[in-house]
Amino acid sequence: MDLDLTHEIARRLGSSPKAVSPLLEEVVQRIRQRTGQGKVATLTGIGIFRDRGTGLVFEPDPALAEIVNAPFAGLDVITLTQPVQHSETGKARSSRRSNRSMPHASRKRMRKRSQEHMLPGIGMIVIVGIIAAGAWFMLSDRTADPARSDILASASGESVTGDLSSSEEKLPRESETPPVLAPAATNDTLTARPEMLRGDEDIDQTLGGYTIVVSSETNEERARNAAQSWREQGFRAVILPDMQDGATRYRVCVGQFDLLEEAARIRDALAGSELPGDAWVLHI
Amino acid sequence: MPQNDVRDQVKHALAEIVREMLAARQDIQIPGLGSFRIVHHAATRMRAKQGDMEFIPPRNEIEFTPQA
Repeated sequence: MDLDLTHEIARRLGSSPKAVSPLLEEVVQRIRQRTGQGKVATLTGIGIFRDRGTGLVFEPDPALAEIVNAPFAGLDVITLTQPVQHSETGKARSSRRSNRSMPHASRKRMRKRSQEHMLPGIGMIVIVGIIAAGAWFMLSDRTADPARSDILASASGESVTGDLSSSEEKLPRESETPPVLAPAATNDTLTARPEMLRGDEDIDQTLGGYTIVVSSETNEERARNAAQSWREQGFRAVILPDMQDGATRYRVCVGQFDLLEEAARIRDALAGSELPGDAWVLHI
Repeated sequence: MPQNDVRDQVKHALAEIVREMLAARQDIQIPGLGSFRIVHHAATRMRAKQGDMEFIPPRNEIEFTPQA
């Protein structure tokens, strides 16, 4: 804010601040007048001003918005599909959560409905119980048979027949079964294949894949210095030039990953620590 | 030079300066109108539908504060 606008405009136009000052005031006055009348005032190349009764509001010109976002141009939103939980436990948990967020009346209705569903369920449990008891009876009968010593040995190490409670305890109960999650740990990926991010191997652009942008420079030498600094820290670094509105922007990138998911998870794990907070995944 | 042309030149120079200042991430004030500044929004991670993870890239936003 230290810039004296009047002086700077005068300097650029080869005029005097005294001559420029009333003209600048006039430009501002016109904007104020138009917006005061409920009209839109345009400052070409900057944006529009309007006043809907709540004060002056500014909407930037899309070109200006692009200029201020030049370092992030071409960076897209990344969506990673979360692995599905196959465990019944997960389902039960989520249904409990949704119940909690329901209104009281809905919860009552749900409870009544679940009680109605419980009756046939109890019947099923009784039937399964009878079948299990029959199976137990038959098994104990067969293991008691000296001719079937193989069954006896496998049924219990202690040769105690019919002790189902102990064998049941060895089995994980359904509620204790851990949910099955797809392998997703970032650091696992990095541990398994550290060469994706670090090492002496050059990044081969012909192989494609994904990389992580760590800085974006308009000056090539600055970009080269930055890339060298990353290499000295043990990272695989490359400069990817990008043309934007006729000007070249030099993106300093680290790592080369086959999959978007690998790159995104590693970026997420290391951004703000080993990598800058604004590091982002880019398609090579 | 006609007055209108001179005013247009001032307007053009004003726009150029504002653009340059904001591109350099520097605040600028237009007396009588208000001030502009760049607000940086860091990359964010958010949960999308069905547990999907969405990563929003960083971005800069131009914030205008009108002069009272």
